[in-house]
Amino acid sequence: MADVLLLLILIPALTALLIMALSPKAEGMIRAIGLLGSLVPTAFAIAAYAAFHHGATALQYPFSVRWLAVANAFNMLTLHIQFAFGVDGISMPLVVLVGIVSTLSFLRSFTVTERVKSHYVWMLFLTMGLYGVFAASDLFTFFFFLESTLVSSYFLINIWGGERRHYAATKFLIYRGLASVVLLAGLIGLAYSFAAEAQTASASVVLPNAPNFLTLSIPQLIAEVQLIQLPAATQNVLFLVFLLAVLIEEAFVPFHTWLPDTHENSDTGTNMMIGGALMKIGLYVLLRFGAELLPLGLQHYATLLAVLGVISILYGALVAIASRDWRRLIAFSSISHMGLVLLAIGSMQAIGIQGAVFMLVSSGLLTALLFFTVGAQADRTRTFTIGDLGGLSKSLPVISGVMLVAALGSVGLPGMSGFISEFSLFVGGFTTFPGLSAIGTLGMILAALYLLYAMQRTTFGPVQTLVTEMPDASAIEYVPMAVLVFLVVLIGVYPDVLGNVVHGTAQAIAARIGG
Amino acid sequence: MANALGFLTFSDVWRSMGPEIIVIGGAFLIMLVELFLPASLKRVSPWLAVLALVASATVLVVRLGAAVTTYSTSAYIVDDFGSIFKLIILIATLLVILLAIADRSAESLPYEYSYLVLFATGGAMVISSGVDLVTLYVGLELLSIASYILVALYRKSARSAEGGLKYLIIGSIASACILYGLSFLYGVGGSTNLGQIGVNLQSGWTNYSGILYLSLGFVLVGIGIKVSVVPFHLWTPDVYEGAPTPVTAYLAVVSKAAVLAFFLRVFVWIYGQKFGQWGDIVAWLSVITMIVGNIGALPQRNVKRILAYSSVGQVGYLLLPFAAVGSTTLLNDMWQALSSIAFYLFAYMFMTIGAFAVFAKVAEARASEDIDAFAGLYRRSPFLAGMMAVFLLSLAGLPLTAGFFGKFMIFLVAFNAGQYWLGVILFATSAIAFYYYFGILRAMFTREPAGDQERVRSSPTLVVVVALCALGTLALGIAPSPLMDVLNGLHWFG
Repeated sequence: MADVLLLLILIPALTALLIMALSPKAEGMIRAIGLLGSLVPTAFAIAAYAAFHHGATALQYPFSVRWLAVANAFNMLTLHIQFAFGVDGISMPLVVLVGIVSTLSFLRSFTVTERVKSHYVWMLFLTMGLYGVFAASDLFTFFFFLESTLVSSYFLINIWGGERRHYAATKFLIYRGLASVVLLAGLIGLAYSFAAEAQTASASVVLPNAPNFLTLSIPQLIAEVQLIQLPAATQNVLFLVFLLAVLIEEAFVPFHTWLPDTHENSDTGTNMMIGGALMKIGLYVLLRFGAELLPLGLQHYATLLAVLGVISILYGALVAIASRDWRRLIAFSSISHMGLVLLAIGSMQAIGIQGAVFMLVSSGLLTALLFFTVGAQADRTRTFTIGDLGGLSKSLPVISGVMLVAALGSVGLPGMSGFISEFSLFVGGFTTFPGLSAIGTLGMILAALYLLYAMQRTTFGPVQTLVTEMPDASAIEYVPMAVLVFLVVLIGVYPDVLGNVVHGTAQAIAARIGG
Repeated sequence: MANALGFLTFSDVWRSMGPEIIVIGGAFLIMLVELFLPASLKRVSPWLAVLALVASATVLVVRLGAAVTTYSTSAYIVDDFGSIFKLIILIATLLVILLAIADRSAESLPYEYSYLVLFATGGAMVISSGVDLVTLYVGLELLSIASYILVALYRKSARSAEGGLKYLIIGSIASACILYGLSFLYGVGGSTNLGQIGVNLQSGWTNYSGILYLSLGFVLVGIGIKVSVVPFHLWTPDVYEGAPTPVTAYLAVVSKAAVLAFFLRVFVWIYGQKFGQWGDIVAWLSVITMIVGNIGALPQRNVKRILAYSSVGQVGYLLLPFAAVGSTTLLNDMWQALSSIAFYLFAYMFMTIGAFAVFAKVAEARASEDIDAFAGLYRRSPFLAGMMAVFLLSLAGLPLTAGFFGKFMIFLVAFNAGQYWLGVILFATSAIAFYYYFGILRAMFTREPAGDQERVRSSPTLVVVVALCALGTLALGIAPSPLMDVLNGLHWFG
């Protein structure tokens, strides 16, 4: 069990290599192996989740090997770069989210008929990259996997996407590439600032990683941050750098335009991966590096976070109302929901941070479910345009039903994961920013408006589609819908299944940022 | 110097110049043999060159990390700095010759290239180890003159001739600039030996600073032209486009590495003590080179020109570590900067030669250098398309490839020196470069080939070259540790 995180990386990578060696004509075999290559790590991830030690604050399932050393990298110190993994209460749920979303999108990919072999190879590499990002416990390892997701997503959008896929893929690449540049500057700046600070402080404080203070290891940095503080000015600068990266990465206003274009021009499986897992990276970065390692920076810019959060909540919701395409609507809805998370992190309350993680998971599941059902109906009606749809509840009762469940979950109906997430978010938010949070709740009302209005036009009303004979959900489509609905409801009625894991880490972070 | 040779036994000379002797001797031998070989057997000559290069590299590797020795009254030095550059030069030349063997296109190269390349390489090696102004200049001219001929080797092609003439004129101006600058140095320093000049200049800077800066300026301009630093880069795309592709790869890698060695040696040894006063110039040159090189590639449709502009941008990255250490006086930081340059040169060598190798084959198959020639390459040759993807991703600096670690290392140097803005520009321009590198990737993987779908057949030699380059690119990207450990342990200038 100790090296389970390494397996999460290795299995998809090795499966991809195996598929590369197969003939492109052996499509059945490729699909089976690809599914297996995503299913097995998911099983491991769930097992790791089940065996997760709730009380402990240290990173669990640690694994690390030396990658390379750069002599004299800073102030005569040697930089040791490690290939290292480990999870805590924030990353563990996200690792499982990657597992579930990826396996289900592999099921969805059964409908891909064009260049099947390449599709599965890129999907597997994307899966590997996503696991790596959330499981990494070394800044370099983290960045390494982050960059790898860029390449695999680029090809997935570019080859299997819609009409304007080349444009969308290039836009995706440039935006996220720039975000990576900024992020890298932040990560290295963070490590170097800590090294400089530790070197000076080592006279009075005994530090865990003496005598070599230059470290990229996340657990070591977390241990250091409890003993020494970076100067407030340094923290503020670094925090702003991270914030800029996160704003681009998460498509917050005003860097939001790439996300709707990406979703509109990607195939459903890729959309599930991007919307369900990839789009959680930015806020994970903010929690991990912003909140955990730069507490003073977060305190200083908490109001800014909340304001930016509220802007994205409202802007996303308003544009979603005007969206004509289901995929753009989901994209803007997800921007709006991620704005809530920004508000919650700004609140600096334990319950807010717990709500933030809940929201990341819940929105991951619901976005994947929405994309899946919307994609399933489009397989039959050949359109994503809301205005061209109508009366689907008669011809496709199951798919429309699940779509409604997903919409209600996103709106925040009690008993589903969206409700508990929003509830905790706002408890945290109202404690710190009552006024801003009150404006933020408007987003919830607007969400009900745009999601239910779009649902109503799609599923009820006159039948507008030209296709008359439409088979409802097939056996293979039941699986993703059932799994996702089950999880959404499970978290909704029994939040402790997630809360037990998140709670300890959320408390620890909040204690440090003074919540 | 003639007198000094009297004190040296042959074994002394062999110990100091063994690898060079093998290369130059091999060149003379092939020149003779080539003359007498019947036309049908001429194809042996490049393989002889390969043999000479392998032998030379073997002798060289044995010496890496050995104690520093100077010979021939300090005209020549065997130190790790020279050895590592020579290693890069030899491996790159080897790959280029293999590429030339593989690239038997319609206008096949005359076999003279095999010894011309060896002469040029001999010059490049002399540059890496010379510590005397005259020795350095002789090496530089040997490299340059052989390169002029190489560029114009397609005697019947107008573009090749045009490129050759352009290169000859511009290159001669550069050589003249360098020579003129060095002459001032000799005038003030009173010696042609770098070490001696350095000592003499300790007092000379106060009295003759004007003339010394003039010499620095001339040498910098000359070198700037040779390695195509912006704003002296305008010849690059034309010459690269006109030259036979293996020669282009040679210019882009070997020639640049050697002149860079010249630059580092002369500037660290002689002008180094006043670094603080001119270091910023190099920083700015590096910045505009990164920006202009990468932006210049954006509108290009000809892949060879894209690669030419990209190689201009890459020079900016290579200059950056040197520029970044301007603010420090610590020797360790200088060593770190040098290892990052060496590491990036290794990476640059593999990815650039690899990219040119794939390009040569694809352009030949379609008789076009346009980006459209790459359309649907994944169908016509999955192997070449996959390998080209590795090279392009590495040039773009993405993970699992050598380019990623290379840039990361350079980035660390900039950060260590406190020059954060240089680091940010490095990655910002890399992000710009995504656009054109991914443009080629997109053509290869997402577009369907126009016209006939005939498969591109690669010869075994081409497969070997491309596979070697890809292996190097991936090995340095997945496990950079062995090379890094070697570089960390080097003594550089002793």
